[in-house]
This record gives sequence, structure tokens and C-alpha cells, in this order.
Amino acid sequence: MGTDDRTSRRLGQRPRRHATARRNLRNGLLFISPWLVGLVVLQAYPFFMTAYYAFTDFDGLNFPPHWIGIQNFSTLFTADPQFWPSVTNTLWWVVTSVPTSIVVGVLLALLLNRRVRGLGIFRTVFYLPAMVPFVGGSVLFLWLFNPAGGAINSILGGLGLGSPGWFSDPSWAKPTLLLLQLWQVGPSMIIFLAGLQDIPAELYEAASIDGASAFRKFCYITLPLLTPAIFFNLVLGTIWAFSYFTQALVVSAAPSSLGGSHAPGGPADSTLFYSLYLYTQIFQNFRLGYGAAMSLLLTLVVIILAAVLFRTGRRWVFYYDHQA
Amino acid sequence: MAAAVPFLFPVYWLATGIFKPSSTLLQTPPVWWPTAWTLANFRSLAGYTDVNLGDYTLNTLYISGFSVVATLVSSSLVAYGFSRIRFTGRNVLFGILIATMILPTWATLIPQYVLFKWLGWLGTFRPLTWPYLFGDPFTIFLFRQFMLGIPSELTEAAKIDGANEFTIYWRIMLPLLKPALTVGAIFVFINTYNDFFGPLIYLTDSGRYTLSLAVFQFVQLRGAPDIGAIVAFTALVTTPLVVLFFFAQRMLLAGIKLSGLRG
Repeated sequence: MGTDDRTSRRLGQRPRRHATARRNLRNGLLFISPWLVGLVVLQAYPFFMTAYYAFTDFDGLNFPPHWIGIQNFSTLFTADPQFWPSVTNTLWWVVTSVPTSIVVGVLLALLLNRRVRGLGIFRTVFYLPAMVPFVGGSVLFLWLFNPAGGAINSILGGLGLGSPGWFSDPSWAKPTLLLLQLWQVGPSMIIFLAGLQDIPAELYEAASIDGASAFRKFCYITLPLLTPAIFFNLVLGTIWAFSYFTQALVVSAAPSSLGGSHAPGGPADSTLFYSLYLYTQIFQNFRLGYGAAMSLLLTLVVIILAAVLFRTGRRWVFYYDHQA
Repeated sequence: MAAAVPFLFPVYWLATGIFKPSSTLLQTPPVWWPTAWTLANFRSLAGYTDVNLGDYTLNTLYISGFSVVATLVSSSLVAYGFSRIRFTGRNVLFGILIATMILPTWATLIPQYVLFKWLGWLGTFRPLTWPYLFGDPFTIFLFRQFMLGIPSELTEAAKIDGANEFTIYWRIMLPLLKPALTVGAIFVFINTYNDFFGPLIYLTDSGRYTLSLAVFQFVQLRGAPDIGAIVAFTALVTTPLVVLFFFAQRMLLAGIKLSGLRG
């Protein structure tokens, strides 16, 4: 294409170059038109409407909704007893689940990156839980961690250890969800594994000749070259953690006989994550304007956080140039 | 090696639990290995007249199947535009596409819900399937990466012979894209099969429930007294993806690598 342009310029055929550019623009837009239409209809327009509804008392029925200014936001910040718990639960979730998923993912990837026999089997073992659908995994964990007769408490009892109430105990419900999250760490582990396998063996060989210890090799070769994978999992993991929903709803809404608390976000609002609270406001209380205000806040936080991560990422993410 | 135990145990517990008598599933001390193998849990699940396993399966497969086909067609077209045609504004638009992947579902959910309601789509499969006709950003990204790796010599000759862009897309690009299409199909299938939130908010009639949603409702209604049926239901929902994993393992892992980090 580039050569084409240069040739026409040399021959002074400007009109033809313009024609090519115009044809490319037309063809290009034509090919991407499915996405362009979707962008307008399903992304851009709804996003601006969310921003608009956030300042109304929209209930989903009465058009046009009442403009109430910043009332939704002032209610959220000062007069909603469940808003701040949902915020702190979510921050707890982001701060614990994202780093532990990265650490466990990296450790498992290191474990699998060594040439051990039956590697394929181990890779399957660690990835398999990630193939269990979210609802299935949540129900399975309700059963395993049932305070009355669940396998985990039986094992702990046999070892002479305590038997927590897990999902039914406000102080244990979030950590138990964290266990479920780490059980399904497979996808990020695979991304780390791909990153590890991308590191050229020569680097390790050269370091060995220089007499570097395994620890130094890890600190000066493995870790720096793994930063792109860490960054990738950090950004996506953080964004997803802010929208964490399904597992929390399934385990908390389950009846108490199964170890749940029969209330979304229970027990005692301990699993009332931001998205779960948002869901109840929209689909149970039909406060769509209020929900739009919460959606807008969440979106702004996610955008700001992504921007901060990308900005700081430039300082610590290290891309190894394979051509060099 | 010991690290494998906590990862494997829940899978083992589910796989053996389905064959144990319901009365022993929440028993202390636990039954580690089924002594009297039984299929009673599945019979008890099938015995509920309000549970239509066949319908749930067909509904789920319809939604996933539609989404997969729609995504492959639309995303490959869009990816072709983004990777093989040099047009003004292309990079800006692609930047926007990447940015939309960061947006949480909530950013657009309420107006989308209102729109679908206005269209009379609530309670139908359309809110769960039709959006895929507009392409899936992640799949577009995946296909674009793959297309960028295809040398332009392969298409230049056709262009000189007078083939238009669509012919090149259809005759040359799509056949070459087959490995990426397979990977994209697997990813979309897993995501739509696994989706819970969409069916939860858009499906109203229990006859149209998907498997995930049906399990959730069943668990909520029944609880521990029906643990045998719950365990059987859970295994039923889980099995297709686990089976898919075993068949598509290599491609799935390759796809994660392909979609990963190299820009």
C-alpha cells in the first residue's frame, strides 16, 4: 500500500491517490459497520443515557423521568445505610482477590514451567476448576463448605481444627468466596505460563555461567520478564473485581439449610458487593435513576483506575525485545 | 504435587457425590468413596415436574449457538476492516474498541434494559443473542491479531486480478482464519454457556431458563433436603464445559497465548 502511494505521488497522480483513500475509507467503514452500529446503539447512546438517568428519579416506567439534580448522589453518600458497606466489601474484595490471584497464578505457573513428568496432567488439574461454570462452582462450594455436614468441616474436625460457619458467618463469608476465586485461578495461571515460556533460555544460561543463584535469576530475569503478564492480569483482574457478582449472589441467596443466608448480600451484608447492591436497587426496588447514579460512579472509578494503572505501568512493565 | 489436592478435591467430590445416596451427602463422617453406587440423585432430579432439563439444555444451546455463529461472522468482518484496509481514523476507532473492553457492564446496562423492554424483547432470547451480531470486542481483537500475521502477498495477487475486498475476505481470509475461528468459537461458547447475569435479568418465564439460571432457582427453592438432586443438577451443568475442555484443551490454551501479551 505504502509503495503504491509513493508511486502515484512521483507520477503526479494526486486524484488517483485520493480515489484510493476514499475507496479504502468506504470499504473500511463498511467492514467495521457491524461494530460501529453496535458502538452507537449499545454503547455510546446507553452510556450517555446512564449519565442522564443518574440525575433523575427514573423508575423504568414514567417518561420522561424527573430531573432531581445530585439528589441520588447525596443520598448515596450521606443517607444510604447499605451504600458504604457495599463499597468497603468491594474494596476488600479488590485488595485481597487481585493480589492473591496473581501470586497463586504465578506460583502455579512456576510449578508447571519445570519439566516434570505428567506435565499435561498437572496443567489439566489446575485449569479444570476454571471450566466449572460460576453457578456450578458456587453451588459446589456451598455443599463442600456446609457448616452442617460439609466435607471441609468434617476434614477440619478430623484434624482437631475448628469448624467455621463459612458462607453463613459474616466474618467468614468473604474469605470463603476468596477460596472459590482462587480455586478458579486457571486462566490467569495460563497467561503467566505463556509469559514464562516466552523467556529465552539463553538468559538463564548466561546467568548460570555468571554464577547467579536461583533466587537472583528469579528476581533479575523471571520477574521482570513476567511483568507484562502481571500487568495484564492486574488490569483485567481489577476491572472484573469491581463487578464481582454471580458467585456472591448464588451463595448468599441460597437457603440457610445449604449454608447460605437466604438474602442476596448476606449474612449481615457481609457479601453485599457493590454490583450486588446495584442489582437489588435496579431489579428488586426498580430505582433505575438511583442505580444509574451507582453505575456512573462505578464506571468513573474503573476508568480512573485503568488510567492510573496504565500510567504507572509504564514505569514497571518491561517488554523484552526479541529482535534485539 | 501436594498443591494439586485442593484443586482436585472439589472436582473429585462432585464426580463421586453424584453416585452416593442423597442421605449420605451431608454426613459426618463423610463417605469418601461411594460404596453403594446409585443413580437415584438423577432420578430424583428428573422427578420434579417443574424442572424441564431438556428445555433448559436446548435454551442454553440455542443462546450459545446463536451467539457463536453471530460473533464469528460479525467479528471476522470487523477484524478484516481493522487489519487489512488502511483507512483514515482506523487507529482511533480501534482505540475506542479496546477502551470498550474496559467499561463495566453497568455503564450501559440500564438504558440497554429500557431499550430491550421498549422493543418488547424482555423474556425472549434476543437481548442475550442479538448484541453478538454487532461483534464481540475481544473476538475482534483476537481475529485482528491473527489477520495481521497473514502476509499481504497472499491477498495482493488477488487484488491485482481485480478481486474486491469482500471476495478477498470470503475466499482467502476466512479459510486462513480457521484456527482463530475455532478458538473464538470456544471462548464465546464458554462465556455464553457460563453467563448467569444476562439470563437472570432478561429471562422471565421459567420455561426459557438456561441451565445456570435453572440451577440457581432450584437451589434457592429447595436447599439441603434436596441435596441429592442439587448435586446431580450441578454436575449436569458442569459436565459440558469440562468435556469441551478435554476435547479443545490444546486450542484453548493456544488461544489464550495467541490473545495474550504480544501486541
